[in-house]
Amino acid sequence: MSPSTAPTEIREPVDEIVVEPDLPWVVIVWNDPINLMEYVAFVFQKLFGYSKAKATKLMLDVHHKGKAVVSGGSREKAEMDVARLHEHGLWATMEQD
Amino acid sequence: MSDVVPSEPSWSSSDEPWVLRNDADEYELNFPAEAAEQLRWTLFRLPREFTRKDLPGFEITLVAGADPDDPEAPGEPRVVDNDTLDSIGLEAVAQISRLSGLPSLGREELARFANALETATTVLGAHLQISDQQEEGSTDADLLVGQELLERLLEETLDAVVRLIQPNRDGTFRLRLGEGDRDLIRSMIPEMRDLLLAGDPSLRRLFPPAYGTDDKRNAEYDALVHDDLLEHRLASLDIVEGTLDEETVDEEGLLRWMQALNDIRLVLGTRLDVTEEMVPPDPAHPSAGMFIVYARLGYLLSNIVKALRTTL
Repeated sequence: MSPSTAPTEIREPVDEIVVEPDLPWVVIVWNDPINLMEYVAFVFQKLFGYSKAKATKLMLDVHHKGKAVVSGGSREKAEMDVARLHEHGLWATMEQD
Repeated sequence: MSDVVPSEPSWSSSDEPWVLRNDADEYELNFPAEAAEQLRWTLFRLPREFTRKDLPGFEITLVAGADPDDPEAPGEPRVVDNDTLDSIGLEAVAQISRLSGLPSLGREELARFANALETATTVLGAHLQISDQQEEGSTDADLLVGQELLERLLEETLDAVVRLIQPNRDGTFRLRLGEGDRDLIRSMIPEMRDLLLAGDPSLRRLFPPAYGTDDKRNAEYDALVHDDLLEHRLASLDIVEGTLDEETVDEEGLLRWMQALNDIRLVLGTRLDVTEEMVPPDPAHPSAGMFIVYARLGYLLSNIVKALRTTL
């Protein structure tokens, strides 16, 4: 969609309470001895649309280094990604970067 | 630019199966266009390569039946002279040309096709090795790609025979599972459903905490998603149960098969306390039976993932 409507003037609120900056979240997948390597790589490709090369590299990072950051973003997005990984039986957690 | 690396042929990264078994239990070749082109070119080049230079006596292992002068010869290492090697190679090339041009191959033709491919790669390998020894660096890059193609084709051909889940051309999947595998899965489903409904501790890998050690947020996450996750898992079991005796499932159905079998495998692996270095238990051990089920589910899952890769 193109932003075709006339720009709306937004008045910046002044004297707003200072909130903590909304740091992005990262989604981490941890190594486990049960999930098959080819299954894990497939899930990364399927859920995140990654290339075979990227998904394989992340899977190997999980396997050899014990964990890998597989996605990130707002808390809502990270939580949804974690839930989809849990749905597929992967051991995923999220933390603030 | 001087350091241009030759790009990988596009067929080398394709996940599509090259050989498909059709409903009449015959095998159809299904190469990517570029691979078919490469094959034609390779088959055209090989006869000239085979007769171009003299090789010293060469020890090779031929598959049984590959030697046209002695079809009864068993497949064992032996020294053959140049002429014999060439005539064996030429015969294999002729067979590959003929069989790859047929609309479909029966089981015996497929076996002959696999043998001819193996023979052709062996003879081509002997030639490539010799030209590399005679003139260093003279090995023809195109022939190396041809060699790679023949090996891939052989692998795909053998794969078509043992593949348990086969993608069909219409986007569905054929389940070529025996009764043993179907019964195995059938027996696991009610048990898995009971565990899910009872919230058994062996399910901990299916519902991991999202926030590590942050108990408050873990509880919030759990309240938000646990019921949906549970419902999804129960629905996957229902879908597998409902399609267990089918010959064909659609993509969504096969994805649910994948998830359900993986869930069951996770629970068995948790109970078996599987580690990466684990060796199968002694057959007399009480957990030996469970381990066999765990391993078989792994094999089935691997077949499902291979089939689903073709949808990416």
